[in-house]
Amino acid sequence: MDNPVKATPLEMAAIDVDGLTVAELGLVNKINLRGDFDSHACNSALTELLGMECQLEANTYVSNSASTLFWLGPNERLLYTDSDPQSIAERWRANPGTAAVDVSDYSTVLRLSGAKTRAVIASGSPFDVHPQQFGVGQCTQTRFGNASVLLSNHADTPVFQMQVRWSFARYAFDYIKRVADYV
Amino acid sequence: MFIINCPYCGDRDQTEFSCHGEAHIPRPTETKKMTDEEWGDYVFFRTNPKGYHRERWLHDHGCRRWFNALRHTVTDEFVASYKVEDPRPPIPDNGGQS
Repeated sequence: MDNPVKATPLEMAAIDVDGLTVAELGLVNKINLRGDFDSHACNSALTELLGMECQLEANTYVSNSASTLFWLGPNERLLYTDSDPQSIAERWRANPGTAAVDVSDYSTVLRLSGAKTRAVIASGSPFDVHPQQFGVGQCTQTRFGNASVLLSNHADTPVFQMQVRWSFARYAFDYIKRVADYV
Repeated sequence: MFIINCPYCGDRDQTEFSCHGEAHIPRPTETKKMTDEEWGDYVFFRTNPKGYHRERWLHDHGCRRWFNALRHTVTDEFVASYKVEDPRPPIPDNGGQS
């Protein structure tokens, strides 16, 4: 293609009904980081690279103005960043026993907000999103309908983010749209 | 509905997991010397107990890590789940009858 057009799977589709607002975040740079995060050296290298404390409990995330770092597994993290993903990936790979893969176009991110948010997610997911179980700063990978998603809680109002695979984005979006009418 | 304990994520719904058969089957090392019968045992034959069974599970929709679980094949009781590198939890002493 002479003039490649960057696009998102939902082309920025949105839902705005009583009690629920859904928006696609658009292009988000995502890097999958692997390393031995049980080791102090690995965590301090990442802390230095991102300029924020990167020691994470299971199923939590941390963020600053430029980056958000999600726990995906004991040796796996996912980074959303506004900085140049290629340079971060290269600098991370310089550490021994690590890997970095740019997964920006592997998935898209939906931002859900409004009073019905928790009910909409609960309609498709077995994961308990009650505020006592899933507070701000927590994230989890779970199932929504038949799609694997990465859920994170960003505000008590509430504001959730749902990262879903590119090929499941339309499915998840349509699912949300349908249940929004009756939850 | 079962709640299964993932050693990495905690208690989760069973629909996030999949089971992949018996655990602790060592991969053969001297493959060139093995007879067809030994290969058959390794590839196809399992203990298939009526009772407690150690099996491999995958947290597909969650952290995507493999772990082992001790489950009763009749009552579906999950006694324990443990990381692959962890010591095996003991089988409950009730004669295999939960």
